Amino acid sequence: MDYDDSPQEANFRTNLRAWLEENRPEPPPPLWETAATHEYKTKWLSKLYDGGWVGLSWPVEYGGQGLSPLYEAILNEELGAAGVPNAASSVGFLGRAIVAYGTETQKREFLPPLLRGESSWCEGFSESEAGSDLASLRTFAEQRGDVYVLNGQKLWTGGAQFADRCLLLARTDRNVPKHQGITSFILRMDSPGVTVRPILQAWGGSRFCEVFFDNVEMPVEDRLGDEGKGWELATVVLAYERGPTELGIVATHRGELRRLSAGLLENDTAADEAFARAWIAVEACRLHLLESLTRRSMGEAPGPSSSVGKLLMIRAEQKIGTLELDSSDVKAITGEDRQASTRYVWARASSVYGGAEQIQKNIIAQRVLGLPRQ
Amino acid sequence: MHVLLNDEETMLADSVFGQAVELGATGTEALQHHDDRRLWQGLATSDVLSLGLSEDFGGFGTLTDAAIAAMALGRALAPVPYLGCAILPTQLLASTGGSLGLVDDLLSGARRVAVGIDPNTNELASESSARAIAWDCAGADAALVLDGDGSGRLVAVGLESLGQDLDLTRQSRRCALETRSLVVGLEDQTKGLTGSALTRWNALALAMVSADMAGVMDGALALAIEHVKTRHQFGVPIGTFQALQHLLAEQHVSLEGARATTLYAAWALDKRPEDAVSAAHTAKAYCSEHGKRLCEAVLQVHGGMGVTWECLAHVFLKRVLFDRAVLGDERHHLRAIAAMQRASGRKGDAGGL
Repeated sequence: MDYDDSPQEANFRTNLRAWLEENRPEPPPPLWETAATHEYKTKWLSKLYDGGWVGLSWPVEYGGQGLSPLYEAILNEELGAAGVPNAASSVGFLGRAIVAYGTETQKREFLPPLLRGESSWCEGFSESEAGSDLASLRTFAEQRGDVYVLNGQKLWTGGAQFADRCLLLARTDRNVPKHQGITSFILRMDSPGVTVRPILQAWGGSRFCEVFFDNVEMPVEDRLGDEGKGWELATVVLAYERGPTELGIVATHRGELRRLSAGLLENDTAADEAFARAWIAVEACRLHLLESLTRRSMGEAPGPSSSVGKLLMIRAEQKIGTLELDSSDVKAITGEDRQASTRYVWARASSVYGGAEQIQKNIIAQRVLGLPRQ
Repeated sequence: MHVLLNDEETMLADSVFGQAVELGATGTEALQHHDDRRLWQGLATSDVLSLGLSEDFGGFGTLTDAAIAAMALGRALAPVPYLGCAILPTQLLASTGGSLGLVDDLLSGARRVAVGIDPNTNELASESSARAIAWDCAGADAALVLDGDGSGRLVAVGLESLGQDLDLTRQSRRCALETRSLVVGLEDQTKGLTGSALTRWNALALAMVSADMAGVMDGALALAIEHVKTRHQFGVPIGTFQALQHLLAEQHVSLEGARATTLYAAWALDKRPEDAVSAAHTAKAYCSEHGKRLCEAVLQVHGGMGVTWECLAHVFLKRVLFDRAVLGDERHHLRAIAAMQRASGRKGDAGGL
């Protein structure tokens, strides 16, 4: 066991801290200001890129630095600890799909602008009838000559209103078992026939959208990977969705807890216990993630045990959400503290997005513990 | 950074577990009439009793190693006082700088001495404590407590029976604080135990007891998983039912959290003292809360079998309850964490050693 940075890692961390000291951005806009938040993050991402902090673990030939994923983790941890946004998350996992499945031409075309923050991507996976049961997706792409014609609709597409590209899953074959008939595409969001409708969410912002496709033509060369390989690709992307970036989220939570600890009164043991339960949940999550990252840095692909990290994260986030709500006294309810109520409602979503809590438990039970399927 | 057991650590875990299974007792009947001397001697001979102690005192390895061994023993329900009569007293003696002869005797397995804990403060007891308990003291003839004169020196006191222990694998006794034991030779205590030495020992004790709990959780969950795979109802293994799958998945997540917080607490004692106290409270709070819950769930999935004397589910549960009580349960440590964070918010002090 060794939780200490290697000399190289320590050096990287020191340089990063010095850079952050010089380049700290203004505080972010409130969470519910969706467009302002997007603009803020885009600016921050390009600043990070100019500083040389983006694409750390990507191959050198596509603009990355070829470092171990531990450096991505250190980056995110320091960004979170400094209270600045961890802007690079989607770059990390969507880019991963292009690195793994893209043709040489696709890599050269799509990766550099993604890294530089010049191109914004969304993930078109979920549909209204394909949420937890993602493989049931029905959006259909039919090949006609040198184009695929796309019809259907996506739901819960994060950031689609700002995206110029979409990593899309569509069915290309209805006559094979459902997992085998799915193919992945890189969709240009300005293609004729694409309509984006933002969804106003319970916390008052619009982080997710509905996206409609009406006879959208996609050139054959925008297919990512072979026909029928979409499910495999989705599994990789979803596994990479967690990992290094989560350490950044945990670091942010540690900051929130430090802020909340200032409001703890002497002799309120119930509040003390609620606070500390959130604290230990965050610590358990952080320390478990370090273990997962070590495995990943040794070349192990993320597997079903990444669901454990997700569940530890849900526990931590929802405890903090409730702590925010309760420590605001009645202000979250009366509207005086919109930050607290927003964070609380947003935390409820953490057990829904990225694979619902119950799906994660199925994965652990069947694929980690080896319990029999019905 | 390499947050995984390395090859030697994995071998240590396997070998201690193997030893415990081979020389320990399985089954409730055997546990009740178990002679623990063979396993104790085996652990002494393979230097497991010396893990984490400074080399000046004949020690070997790191505290992380000691925690790994404690986890393996907990997982195997090993009926030996590894923490109470080896790790905790030898570490305490070493921090006084003296009593090399006694430490030697403890490490060789020749004799056993326990430590007295004040259940009101959840710290090392002194002769002036209102009450003191020697936890995990099977085979010990005395317990170490602080001299009532406030000098920070250790004295040995006698032990008296309290009743039938709930835990089938370990024992506890009342410390007879009014009678010093003459059988234990405590010499050359050059260093009185000061605040920081006691703080460190307390953090160490918390990390080690947490390690036992993390191990017990591991063993208990394995028992439940085996059961639901083989027990049939409605014509199928009960492990196919989602209610049980989710209950056990939840417990697996808790086990991973317990292991993660515990290993860090032990490692921090070795390498990051400024974080060791906070990490120890975190591990003890986490393992106490989730360990009890996990063992209760394990009992539940065994159905009627789970509440019989024969099934090991209650043995795991009772061992966790014992550990949870030693040095304060989760509520005590949760409050300690909140107090540390409040203080560090005020002073910018992380609350280390």
